[in-house]
Order: sequence, then C-alpha cells, then structure tokens
Amino acid sequence: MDESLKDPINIDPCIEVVDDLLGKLKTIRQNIYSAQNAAQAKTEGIAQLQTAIDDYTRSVASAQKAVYTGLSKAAKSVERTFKVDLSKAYDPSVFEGKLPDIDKAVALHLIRQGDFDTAKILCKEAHISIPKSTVDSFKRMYLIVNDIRQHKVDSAVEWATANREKLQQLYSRLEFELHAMQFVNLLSQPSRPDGSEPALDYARKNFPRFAADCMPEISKLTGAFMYRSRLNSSPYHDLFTSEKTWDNLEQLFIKDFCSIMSLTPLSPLYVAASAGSLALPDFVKMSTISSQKHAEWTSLNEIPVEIDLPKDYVFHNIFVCPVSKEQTTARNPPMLLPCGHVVAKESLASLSHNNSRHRFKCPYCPNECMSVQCVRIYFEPEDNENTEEMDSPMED
Amino acid sequence: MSMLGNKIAVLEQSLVRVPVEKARRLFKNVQRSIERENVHLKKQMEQLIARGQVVKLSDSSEISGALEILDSIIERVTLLREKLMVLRQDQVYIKEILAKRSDHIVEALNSLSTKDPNFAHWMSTRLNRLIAEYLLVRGYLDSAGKLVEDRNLNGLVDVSDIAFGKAIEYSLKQRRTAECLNWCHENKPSLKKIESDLEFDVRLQQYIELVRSGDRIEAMSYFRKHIAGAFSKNADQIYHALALLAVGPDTTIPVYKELYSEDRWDLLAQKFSTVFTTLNCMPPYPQLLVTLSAGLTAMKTASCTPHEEMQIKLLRASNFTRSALCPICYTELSSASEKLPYAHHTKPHVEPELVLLPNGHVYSKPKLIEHAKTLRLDSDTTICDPFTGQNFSIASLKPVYAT
Repeated sequence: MDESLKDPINIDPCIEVVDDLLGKLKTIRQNIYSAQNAAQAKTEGIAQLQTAIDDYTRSVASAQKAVYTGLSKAAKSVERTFKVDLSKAYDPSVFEGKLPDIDKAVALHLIRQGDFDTAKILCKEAHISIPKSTVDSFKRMYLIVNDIRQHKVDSAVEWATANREKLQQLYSRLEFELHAMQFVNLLSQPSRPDGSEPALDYARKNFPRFAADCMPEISKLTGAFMYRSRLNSSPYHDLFTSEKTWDNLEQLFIKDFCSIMSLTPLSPLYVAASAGSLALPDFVKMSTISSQKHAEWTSLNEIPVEIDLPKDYVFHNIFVCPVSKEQTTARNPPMLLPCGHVVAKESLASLSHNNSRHRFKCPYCPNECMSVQCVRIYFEPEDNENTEEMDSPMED
Repeated sequence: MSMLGNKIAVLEQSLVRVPVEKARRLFKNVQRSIERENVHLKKQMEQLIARGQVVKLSDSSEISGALEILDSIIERVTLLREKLMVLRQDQVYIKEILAKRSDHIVEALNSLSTKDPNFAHWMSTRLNRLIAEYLLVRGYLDSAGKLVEDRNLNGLVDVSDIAFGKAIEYSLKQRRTAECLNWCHENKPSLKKIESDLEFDVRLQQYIELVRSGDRIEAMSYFRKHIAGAFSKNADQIYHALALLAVGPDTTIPVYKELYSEDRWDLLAQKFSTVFTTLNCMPPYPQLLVTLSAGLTAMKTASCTPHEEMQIKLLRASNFTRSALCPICYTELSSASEKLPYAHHTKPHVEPELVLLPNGHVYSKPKLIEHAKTLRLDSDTTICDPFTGQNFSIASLKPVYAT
C-alpha cells in the first residue's frame, strides 16, 4: 500500500506555528507590562505585534499548504489504487426480498464458527429462529474439537461410538483413527505394576473390530509398541510427534460431525464469500465491458464470460453440449450415443429431425445411430427411476 | 506482492476511502478555525493601531487598554490552539486505524494462492468484517458490536460512523426531523457541493405534518421561514405544498395523496441513508452482498437445485462429486441464490475415463475401482455405485467420451 495512505494528514506544523505566535504574544505583553516608558513601549509593542501577526499569517498559510499537499497526495493515491467501482458489479435486485434469508445464513455461519453469543443476539434482533438442536450440536462439536486440540480423544471416541452406523454409511474411518490416536497416546505410559501394558490392553480391546478394514494400519501401530522406549528415534516417530496428525484428525472429525448432521463441513457463506473475493475483480471488468458495448446478460440468465475459479470452488460436474454449446440441465439432459459421445437432448432432437428412427451421424465420429438408441445419463448422481427401487445393501 | 494479492486488495477500498475522507474533513475543520481566527486577528490589530493613533490618554490607561486587547488576542489564540489539539486526537485515531487496515490489506497482498495460510487468515478476517458491516447496515447494532468485540475487528469496521447514520435514519422512520436537520446543518457545505436537496425534503415533510395536524397558522409560518426560500429550485413542489392547505389528508387527488402519504417518511430515511453513505465515502451497498452475489454467481450452474434429501447419499459419494458441498444447492443459501444468473462455461468440467453404469450414473472408472477396493469387493469384476450402494459387474460398464 502506498505510504502516503498510512499518513494522510499531519496538522502538527499548524500547531507549531500557533504555538510560536502564542509565545511571541506573551513576550510582547510582558514587554509592554514591564516597560518604563509607556508610550514608547506601546509603539514598539504594536510594531512587534504587527510583525508577529504578519509572520504568523504567512507561516500558517504555508503550514496549511503542506498539510494540503500530503492530503491530496493520499487522495490521488486512493483514486489510483482503487479506480474500479465495485458496486458496478452488483445488481441489488438479485437479493430483493432475500435479505431475511441472508440474515439467517449469517446467523448459521456465526454458529458454525462458534460465535454463539453473537448469533443469539442476532436471532433476537432479526427475528430469526434457529433450532436449538443445531446450536447444541455445534456447541458439542466445539467441546470435542477443544479436547482434540488438547490431544484428548475420549469425548470424540464416545461420539463416534454412538454414531457408528451412520459413520459406516459415510465410509468414514474416523472411529479407527481416534482409537489409533488413543493407542499412540497410551504408548508413552509405563507398564502397570502388575506388568500389564495399558497400550496393549487398549489395542486388544478396540482394534479387532477394525481388523477387516484396517489391518495394515493395525500392524504398523502394534509394531510401534516394540520401540516404545525410544519412539522418537524409531521408524514410527511420525506417528507420535506430528502436530499435523492432530490437525488432520480435527478436520476429519469436523467433516464427519457435520456430515452426520447433513451439514456441509465448510460454511456455505465462507465458501461463497471467498469465491466472491476471487471472482469480483472479473465481474467488475465484465460490467465495464458490457456497459460499454450495451450488451445485456443473455436471455438464459447466464453471465456472458467464463470466470475461472480454483478447483476448490467447482462443485458440479458440468457438461457442455458440443452442438448447442449449452450446459445440460434436468430439462435438457445429456444423452449418450451408442458410440460413447454425448449431446444434449435438444441437440439430439434436431440431429434426428425429431424422428426417433432417423439415422444421423455423430457430430464427433463417423458412426451413425438413431435417437431411439440413445440413453439419458447422469454426470451427477441423483435419485432416478433406475436407482430408486433397487437400493440394495452395501455388503454382500 | 503477488498477482492474486494485487487482484484482491482492490476489494478493500472502502477500508481506505472512509478514513482518508475523514482526514479531508478534519483538514477543512482546521482551515476553518484558522481562517476565522485570522479574520479576528486582523480586526483586533486594526483596532489597536487606530487606538494608538487617535486616542490620547494618560500613560497608564493607554497601557491597560493595549494590554486588554492583547490579552483578548492571547485568549483567543489559546482557544484556537486547544481546538487544534482536539483535532489532533482525531488525526491520531485516523492514523491508528489506517495502520491496522493497511496490515489487513498487506495480508491479502502477500497471499500467493488460495491455499496460502495468509489467504485463509485474511479471508476469515475479511468475512467477519463484511458480516459486521452488513449487520450494521441492516440495523442490527448489538450483534454487530458483539462480533467486532469478540473477533477483534476494532478499527477495521466503521462501527460508530455507520451506527450514527443508522440512528438518524431510525429517527426519520420514527417521524422525527430534529436529528436529521441538525446533521444537515453540520454538513451544509458538503451537501451543497453534491447539490443534495435532502434538507428541503425534510423541511417539506415537517410542513406537511403541520398541515396534517390542522395547525395552519404554524404551517404557514414554517413555510415562510424554511420553504419559500427554495422556490427557484423546487417551484412545482412548493406550489403543491401550498395547495395542501386547501386539500385535506383524505384527498383522492394523486398529487396531494402522494404528499400526505406516510411512505414518504421511509423514502426520506432511505434518501438520508444514501446521502450519508455518499458523503462519508462508504460503499452504496453492504460489501457482503456484493461479494456473495459475485461468488454465488461464479459457482452457480444450470443444474443447481436444493438437494436436502439426497444430501447424505451425496456426501457418501463425495469422492466422486463435490455437489454435496455446493453452497448454492445447500439449504443455507439456496433460496438467497434463486434470482442470480449462473456462470458461463464453454467447456465441460468432468473427470477423465468416464464410464456409464446400468442405472444411468456416470463416474470415473479408476475411482470406481479404488472405491471397490476400499469396500473389499473383487475390484477385477465388481464395482459399487457410491451414491446408491448398488453393485455392478465391470462388464456392464460402457465408456463415455464427454471431454
């Protein structure tokens, strides 16, 4: 950032000039007051006063000028650095009537990030109600997260055990990871007076259940037991010393905890705001160009330019029909030709002249086919007629 | 400075514009005080010289007269100095907040990528800041204050300024004009500069209320004092306002009905708010909304729909599709995103090596095999649809060429 912006105003020179005048005035007063010859003192005094005030008027003018120069430098720097008008990229009608929804999203975001008191005040101010169960869940989540941060896993294990079935549905390994961490914690404890080992006892009690899924990890963990006394120099030291393992465990826990509540692990508001911060400059550019060209957004309610966001911000598999160049939708879905190429349904209709028995050539390859041979496909899984009735169990 | 940093730092302009505008006003204040004192000094000096030339009195009264004038000059210059010292405190405050804000912007400037911890830290501070600003603009002052306090956003959000404007806006909605008129008075030069007729509108409203209350004499006197002067600029409105004396509040004539309308107070509040943000160089819309609109649009696809019931199945398939995580499909923001346009894509964004399952779903084949292995299936012959949990033989898969 430009240095002039950090210090846009300094009125100290003006104050110095005033101080100077004040000093002179006091001296003049003293001179007149203590003079022997009154008439002379007065004449001299007035002359001195005239000089002092003239001096002051000049210096205060130049001091103000100096302040002004600094200020206008800063103002110019603001104009130069921030010449884009961000509000051009925003059409307030898109959120018309939606502000109560956004209030609620903000309240939920505050709960997600643990600002429970602020969220409570907001709910009252904005007349929002958020189910107590949601708030309590997040409070519980933060309690457990705090434990994990202090390298304590008991509360997390308790939660994972209670939600074992749901976690299994998510193919989650959280429960095993937590037990593994607890085992590593116990490795540092000495054997008990009766010779039994807390870590080994724990492993015997908790690992067998995961034998089918996690055998390699279990072998590695129990292997570490051999090096118990000098873990830090053993091949297993990374099990033990890495703070990152704890961070990962925390992330995994938050992800699974939110998933089980059917919540996204990252706050949607956070994701949208980060994406917006990255995309906004492009929107400003776009709005400048389209206002110059008098171009409107297309009738399809699609913005006219492609905005590149990092992969983290792409959430859907998007298919663009090679014929119509349009994104496929539920109304105009992707259709698979027998040759393996894909076109949108509307394009298929025009290729086949609306005749299911009309032979046409694939737009991509020399193969010919009829639209009756084409099938609707789903780039994103969803409940459809082929999947609904046969929701078979996972394990055979 | 990184490319990404440069690009996103532009977003933070209101952080700098508001305090720089404050500095400008502070300087105007300094100038005005000094100017006023200059005029006075000149006058006093002339007086003193005139006295010295004309009046001939005894020495002692001569001296005491001169001292008296000198003392009054000293007193006034001392007052000027005190005033400047008070303004100097504002200057210190402006510097403090600019220092804090520039640290915040530098964090953005130093972010190399979205994976950079700098970026994450900047982003989360920025979001809290935008939320606080949004809450203030919505009039939720208590929650905004709490957030600013708990998240240490002091200096990053113009809390007192926005709250000050909100209080005046609220007073107008409560049908009170004193606060707004007082503000208009304090900001007369700036209002004149932007040619705002806010004060006229407020005065007119006050007059309408007097007419409504039936106090015609008071209304007329108010009219003469405050409204008639603006005749040249607002002739039409003034004619109608005068005619109001003859037309009761239950009129059906559109022009007068409009003047009597209670909605005018809300419009007045809105107008004040616009003028207030403009004068203070604040952004016209809360930056949270501007940012969300850009972000949601950039991520919105033609097929985004709320999928509450499928959420758990989609989460289960999250290695194959990230749509469970899409902020637009997800409940919290899905309704707010309804009216937004969607992003433009010229090429498909699908995974490589796609295959079609008999149930119509398309997935990446390597991922299906990997998934089958984690499920302890015989991945040479069988795969499993992660979404439905159905098992299929590998022989039943058909290749899909979608890229």
